[in-house]
Amino acid sequence: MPADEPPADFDTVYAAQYADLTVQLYAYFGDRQEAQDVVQEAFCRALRRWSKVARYDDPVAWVRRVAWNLAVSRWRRSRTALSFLRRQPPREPHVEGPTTERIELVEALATLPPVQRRAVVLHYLGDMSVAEIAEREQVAVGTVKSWLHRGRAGLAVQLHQPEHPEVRRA
Amino acid sequence: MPDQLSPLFDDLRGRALPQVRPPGPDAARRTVHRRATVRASVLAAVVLAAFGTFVVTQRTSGGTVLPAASASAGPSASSDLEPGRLDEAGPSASSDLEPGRLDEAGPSASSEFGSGRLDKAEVAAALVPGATYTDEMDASGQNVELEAAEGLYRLTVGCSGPASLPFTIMLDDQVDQDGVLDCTDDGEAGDYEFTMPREGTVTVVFDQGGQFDAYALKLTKL
Repeated sequence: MPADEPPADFDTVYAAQYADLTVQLYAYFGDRQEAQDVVQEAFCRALRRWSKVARYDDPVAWVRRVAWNLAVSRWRRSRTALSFLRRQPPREPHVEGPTTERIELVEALATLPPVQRRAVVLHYLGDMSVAEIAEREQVAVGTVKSWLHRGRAGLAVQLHQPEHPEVRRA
Repeated sequence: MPDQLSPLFDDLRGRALPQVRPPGPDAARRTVHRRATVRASVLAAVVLAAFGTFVVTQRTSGGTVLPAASASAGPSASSDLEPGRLDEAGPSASSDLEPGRLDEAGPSASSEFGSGRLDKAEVAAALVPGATYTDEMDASGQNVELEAAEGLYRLTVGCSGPASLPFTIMLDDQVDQDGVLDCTDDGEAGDYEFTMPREGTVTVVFDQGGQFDAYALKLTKL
């Protein structure tokens, strides 16, 4: 962040990013409440040291990274898996009547290995390029392309769609 | 060839976003405040228990217990020893002073304990009578949040430890003033006055440069 710019305001960042991050993690977890808890926890951790985080070049990236780190921790994964199994059925609560397609997509995502699922979610919902995902995951660009390719193939099978290899943006 | 997954993810995002119910930034503030309160309570209980144990040990072994004010004046002997918590100091810290006698005489044989030397958390707390918050710096910075109504306040900060402790006082996320305490083993305290324009949160942001320092705080309405 340039020196002449004021530090980011916590409330503004929260309002702008909470929902987007929650949707990404919802797609990853398959559990909206779990996603909300993780994102809220990430913002709590950011708030505790906001005077520093606000001065980072990209405070949102810090929050996003913490949220995803929380999401992929073993404890969270175990808990989510148990929670997911306990909820079979009735699956996701039908508050607003989610479409069958949407549930199928979330369930199809749940069948992917974690790294593929994460790459697919970051790419399609986090709007991150292959290079950005590679940097975040500290792997080669080719590795991310491979994850995305296999992730798409897996989703295509689950959703009964024809597979195609195109990368949306790299 | 268009990506057939994109519309599905767009649909997922479009339909899921309105269903997200953010707890809100105020809920995050309450959580952080509650955690800070719990940490402070636990630390205060630990300090109290350690001090109580120390006093009881001194009395049962016939040692002399000096008041905290005397202890904060600083030990004259063994100043090369790293100050630490009582439970950390223990036999190993005393062994340089009384080798071979620990099993027989216990901690009271140590001149550190015999002189009533306190650990840095207790030194810091003794410098701020009625301190409402005490803690010890780790490798990262720390924020302490204190709720305050509108008015003039004095923040008393005491610290003890190996490094200077820089900090910033923020009123509702706005920087009010910076401060730095030299700390030292004997401890140092300072008073900082400010005016809260309205009811809100006073945040004291301790910089990580003060790693291993112990500090104590008290906010007084003037």
